[in-house]
Amino acid sequence: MNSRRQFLQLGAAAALGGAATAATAVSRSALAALPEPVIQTSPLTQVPLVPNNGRPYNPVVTLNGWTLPWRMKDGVKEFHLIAEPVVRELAPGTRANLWGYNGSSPGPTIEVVEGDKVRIFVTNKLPEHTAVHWHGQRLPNGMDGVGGLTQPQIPAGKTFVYEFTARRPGTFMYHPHADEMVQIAMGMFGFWVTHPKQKHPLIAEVDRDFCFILNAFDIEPGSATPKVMTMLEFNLWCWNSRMFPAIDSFNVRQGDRVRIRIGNLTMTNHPIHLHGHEFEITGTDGGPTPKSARWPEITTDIAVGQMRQIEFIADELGDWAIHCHKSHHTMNAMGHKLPTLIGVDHTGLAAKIRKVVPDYMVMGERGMADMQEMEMPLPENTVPMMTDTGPMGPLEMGGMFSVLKVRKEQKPGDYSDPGWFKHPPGTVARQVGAGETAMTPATRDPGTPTSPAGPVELTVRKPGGNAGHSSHH
Amino acid sequence: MKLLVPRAMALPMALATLCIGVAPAAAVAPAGQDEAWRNANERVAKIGGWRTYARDSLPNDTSPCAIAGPTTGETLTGAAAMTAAVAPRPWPPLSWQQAEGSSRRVAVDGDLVATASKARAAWLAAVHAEASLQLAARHYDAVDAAADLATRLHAVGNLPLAEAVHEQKARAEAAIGCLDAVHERQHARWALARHIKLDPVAAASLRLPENLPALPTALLAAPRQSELLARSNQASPGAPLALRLAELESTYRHRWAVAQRHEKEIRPLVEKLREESVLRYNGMLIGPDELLKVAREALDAERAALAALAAFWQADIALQSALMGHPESGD
Ligand SMILES: [Cu+2]
Repeated sequence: MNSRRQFLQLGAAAALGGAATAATAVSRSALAALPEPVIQTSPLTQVPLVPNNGRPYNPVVTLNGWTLPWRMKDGVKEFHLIAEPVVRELAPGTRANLWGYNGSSPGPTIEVVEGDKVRIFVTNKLPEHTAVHWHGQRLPNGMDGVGGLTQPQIPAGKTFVYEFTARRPGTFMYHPHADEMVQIAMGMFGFWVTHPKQKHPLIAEVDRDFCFILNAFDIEPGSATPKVMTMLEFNLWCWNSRMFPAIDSFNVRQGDRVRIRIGNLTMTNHPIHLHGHEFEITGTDGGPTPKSARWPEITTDIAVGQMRQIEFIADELGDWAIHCHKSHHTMNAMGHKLPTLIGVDHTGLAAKIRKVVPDYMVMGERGMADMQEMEMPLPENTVPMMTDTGPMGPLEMGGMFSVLKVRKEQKPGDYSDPGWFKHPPGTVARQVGAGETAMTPATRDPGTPTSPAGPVELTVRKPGGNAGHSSHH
Repeated sequence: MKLLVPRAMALPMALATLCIGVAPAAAVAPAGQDEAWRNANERVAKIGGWRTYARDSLPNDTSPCAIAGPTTGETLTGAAAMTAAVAPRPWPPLSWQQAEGSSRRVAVDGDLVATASKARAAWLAAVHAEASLQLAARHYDAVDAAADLATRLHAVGNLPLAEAVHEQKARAEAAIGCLDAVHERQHARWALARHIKLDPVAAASLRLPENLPALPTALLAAPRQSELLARSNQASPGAPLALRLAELESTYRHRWAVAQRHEKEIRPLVEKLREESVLRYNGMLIGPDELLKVAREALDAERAALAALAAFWQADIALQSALMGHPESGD
């Protein structure tokens, strides 16, 4: 943990990955007008913040993030957000110059209970004005946080206060609505969860409740600050401002009901795909979905600005990939104007190029997988396009990729990484051994009919001709 | 029209016909493509990738920049060229101090100054041509590698023909550049041979340095303006040479500054760009085509640096010659 303020250690908070979060020094700041801000700069997943006042609830786990502690004052939950420049490790080897809240990008998750009165102080330590929009909330119009429309902008150096009641339970975000293009491109956003105040027929009680936001940066390899004018050509695909292999895994116990809440603040859609299980969309940013509108899925597309809650019973043991299904989004920084080199014999050419560029190495003529194995020096502050090694060899992934780890032994409340799955004997794909009979490969002759039925009669129709009638030329 | 077609091909053909009216035969891959593509993949798999290519050796192609030059014998320096031109007199002045001492002799024997200066200029041009040819050869290598790459990319179907032809055209142009550079070199050597009175056989085996003399680390301390004026009057009484000398000295200083910036600033920056391009290639941020493009740009910078250095030495000859009373002979 790397904090700039005085903390009280959270009671039951055992550290995840050696990091621990802490509540603010309430005793000291209780006298002050503003709650003491809590700062967290660790990019690791912090243990859930169990509420020690107000209505009880089952807290969420913010993937590679944390929940903002509050101060209860006269029945109002008071939070203090600091909009400020931060440096975020997107993955070991890449540190980004961003803007965020309270030491991190994303900002801390805010968790409240349906019906809670909420007061949020926002101190602006950015060089320009800002405003915070509480994406999806029912609130007085003047609390909606659209700078210039519903409130004056929060000038640099000033503190504003928002007050409203968290009226409906669900999954929300917060983000700037002031110079929005720039401030979101710079990493400003956070999650918001409003828990139901009582048992809700459409909101299941789950054993694990994860949340994260899909976000993207355009940071040129060799630099550290996002290019804020980029419209679509982002190159770093993140979950909570982390990219594979630095996104933590979802560690659950076999049989757990798992909820994953996902919001999208990138500028494109992401089909999020889970292996080994079927899930249902139990809620959107509009609230819980009626049971009649739920059906089993393994991939759900999350559009720009949308939020989805997926839920499933984690009943299959193993290490299950969960990732965006756009294959370029499970890559880190890469070029897009390279020729395809597959199948190009470089004999004699390799030496020619090396005569001109002595450090040149042939790459790509058998596909790109060689790149991970070669481990060559890259521009500074750059994570390789594909990277990391799993228990079975090179993983060749990046970006929006993580693993759902389902284990028998994972204790309730234990979010620590159980390590790689130990497969039961005989359940891993393997090389065919000597002496085993392999199937004879099919013959490849496109001119020979593969069907024993032989040729069929095909009626060729003229475009626009009468359907069902053959045309004669 | 009714056609009998194999069941497996029924769907693609129907689509092609319905949508764009293509004849059924067009749906079938050209003869051999299927086999060629599979062979290409099998071949690179068999070669084994980067480990094998790390031991790759150059093919026996002959570059159009290749020349059979003398490889033994003593290298002719600029001083030796001047000495040879005015033999048997000890020449030339190599510094301002020597120049000042010599300038007194100049009045007596002005022709020698002109002869020596012209010989030095010819030597300079010949060495410049030598170094230019080396650069042309390296440029050809870079363009040849790019054309070879593009041709192979097209051969397996990974690059449109137009792009491969574009690279091949660049190589053909570089080959013309080689012919020019080879000729320029020969021409400059013959000119030098004339100045130093070599017979054709000796001229053919003349050996020159591969590079121009390095830029002096600091400008030579020039005499004051008044001294220049006095000297010019002494050399050619009554002639208004002071202005000409000031002009030549200004050119000399300017060209030194330009050549120095090429050497001290642009060269390391270009080197940095080259290093970064390799890192970017390693990260698959650019391809080998782009890598070779950066190498070509680096060669352009080297060519500009060489031209700047040659221009400086020309100014040096002109100024030294003028200081000895022959303001035009070194130009
Ligand atoms: Cu995606």
